[in-house]
Amino acid sequence: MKSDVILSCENVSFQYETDKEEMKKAVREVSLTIEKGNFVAVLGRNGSGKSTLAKLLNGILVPQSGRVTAFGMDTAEEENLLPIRRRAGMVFQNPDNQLVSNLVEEDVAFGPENLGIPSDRIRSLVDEALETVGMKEFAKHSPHKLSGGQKQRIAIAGILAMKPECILFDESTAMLDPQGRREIMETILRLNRVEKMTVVLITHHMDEAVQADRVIVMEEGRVVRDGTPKEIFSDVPFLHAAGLDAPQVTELVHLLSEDPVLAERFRFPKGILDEKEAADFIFSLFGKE
Amino acid sequence: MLKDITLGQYFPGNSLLHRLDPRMKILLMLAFVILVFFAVDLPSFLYLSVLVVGLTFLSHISLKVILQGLKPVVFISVFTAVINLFWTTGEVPLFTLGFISVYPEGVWRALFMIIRILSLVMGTSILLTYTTSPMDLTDALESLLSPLKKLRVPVHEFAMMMSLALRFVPTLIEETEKIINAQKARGVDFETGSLLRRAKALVPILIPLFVSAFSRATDLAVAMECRCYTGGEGRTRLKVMRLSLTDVVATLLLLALFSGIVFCSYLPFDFGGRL
Repeated sequence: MKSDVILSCENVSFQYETDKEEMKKAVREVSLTIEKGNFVAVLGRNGSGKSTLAKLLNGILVPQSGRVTAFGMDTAEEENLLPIRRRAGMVFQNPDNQLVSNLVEEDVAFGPENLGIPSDRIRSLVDEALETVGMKEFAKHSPHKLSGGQKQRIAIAGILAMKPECILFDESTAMLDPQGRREIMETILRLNRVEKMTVVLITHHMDEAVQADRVIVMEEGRVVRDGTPKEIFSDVPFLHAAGLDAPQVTELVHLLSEDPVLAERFRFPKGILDEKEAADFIFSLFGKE
Repeated sequence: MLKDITLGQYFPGNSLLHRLDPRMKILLMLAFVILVFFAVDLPSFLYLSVLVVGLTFLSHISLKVILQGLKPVVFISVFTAVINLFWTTGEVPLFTLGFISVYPEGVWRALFMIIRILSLVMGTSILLTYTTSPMDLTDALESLLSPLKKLRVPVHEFAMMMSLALRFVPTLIEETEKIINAQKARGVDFETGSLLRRAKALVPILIPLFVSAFSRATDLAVAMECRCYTGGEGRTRLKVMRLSLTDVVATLLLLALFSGIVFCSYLPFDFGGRL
C-alpha cells in the first residue's frame, strides 16, 4: 500500500438487512482509494449507494464482503472503530439531528469529551474549532436560534474538535439555502486548501462537485466513473443517463454544440466548468463572426 | 402558538443563578418544592410571591419570558382555583347564587392555590431549567446520582437521555407546528366540533410526529457514534464541576430565604384564610 493512501475499499459489497433480495445491494464490489489531502466529490442519484459508501468508510457500517481499510486499520475489527471514527469525522444532512447540546460550545466539546481528553485541552480544541469555522462569537449561543448554515458550521466544528485527518460530508448542504450552502462550501474549501484536510463530499449539487480534485459517479451501488471534474463533466449525455446534471454552463455549451450548424462552423471544447471559461469561449465565437 | 412554550428551555446568561453549581441548584429546587407546601396563610403566601419575584430578578431573565412559560399552566391553575372557590365551605357565605354559595374561605383557597401552582412552576424553572444548560443539568444529575452506579444503575445513560430530550424540545415543537399547518392545508379541522372530535383530530398530528421523532433519533444515534460516543465510561468534561466557597455560601443564603416560608407561616397574624 502506498503511504499516502488513507482510505481504501477492496471489492466491498454491502446490503442492508431490510433488503434481502440480491438486487437490493446498496454497494456492490466497489474498489477505490482516497489519498491524503484529496478533495473527492461523490455523485449519484438517490439510492445509488453514495451515503452507504461514506458510512462504510468510517466504520459506521461494516461490509458483508470485501475489506475497508482506514488509516491502515480494518473497519471490521471492533477495536479499530473508535480511532477510525476520530480520524475520519462525518457531517450529515440535517444539522438539527446531529447537535447534542443546547449550547454551541458544549456541543462542539462532545467529541473530545467522548475521547477522554483532559478538560483544559478540550477548551482549546473547542475554541480552535469554532475559530476555524468562523463561529467563535456564537460559543455561548443556543444552536436552535441559528440559521441552517450556521448550525451546519457548528456540526463541522464538532468534528474538527476531534482533530480528524479526513471529513466525510454526507449531503451536508442539501437542506440549506443558497447563503448557507455558500458558507459551508467556503468552509470545506478552506479546510481542504489551508488545513490540508482530506475531504469526501457527497452531493447533488454539480457546482460543488466542480470544485473537487476528483469526482466519483455512482450508480446502483457501483462506481461507474472516477476522474477529474473536467473528465466527468465533459460527457454530458453520460451524466444525464446517470440521472445527474452537468453544471449550468457546461450544459449550455453542450446544447450549443448539439446545433448542427454551429457544430459545423466551430470547434466546441469539452468540459467547460466555470462561468468565466464559458464566457471567454462564447466571446471567441463572436470574434470569429 | 406552540413557539411560546418556554418550559424546559435554557436561557444563557451570567447571573448569580446561572453561575451557581448545578448540583446545588437541583438540591435547592427540591428544597423549594418541599418548602412551598409549608405556605398555608396570607403572610407565608405573600412571602412566597415576593421570593419568586426576587428569584426572577436574580436570574436576569426577562419577566416576559417567564410569564410566557406560565401559559401552559394557566388552564390548570384557573381550573383548580374555580374548584376551590365553589367547593370550599365555611361558616358565613359571601354570597349565594341558587345552589352555589361562595365563602370567604373559598376565595382565600382559590387565591392560595393559584399562587402555589404558579410559584412552583416559576420557581423550579428559574432555579433549574432556565438558568442551567442541559449539559450542566445532566452532569449534575449524574454526579448527584453517581452513588447508584455501584448498584449497577445506568446513571450516565439516564442523564444523557434526559438532556437529549430537553435538547429536542424546541426542534420537535417546530416540527409539530409544521405538521399542524400541513394537516390544516389538507382540511383537517382542529378548532371546531366536540371534545372527542378535536381529540381525534390530533391523531394525524401525533402519528407523523412520532415517525419523524424516531427517524431523528436514528440519525442522532449515528451522529453520536461518529463522534465516538460509547457511553459514560472514560468520558471527560469541558467544564469540571467544582464546589467553590461562593457556591456554598449562596446555597445556604438561598436556603435560608426559602425557609422564610416556614417562618412566615408561624407568624401570629390571622387574616382568615388558611389552607
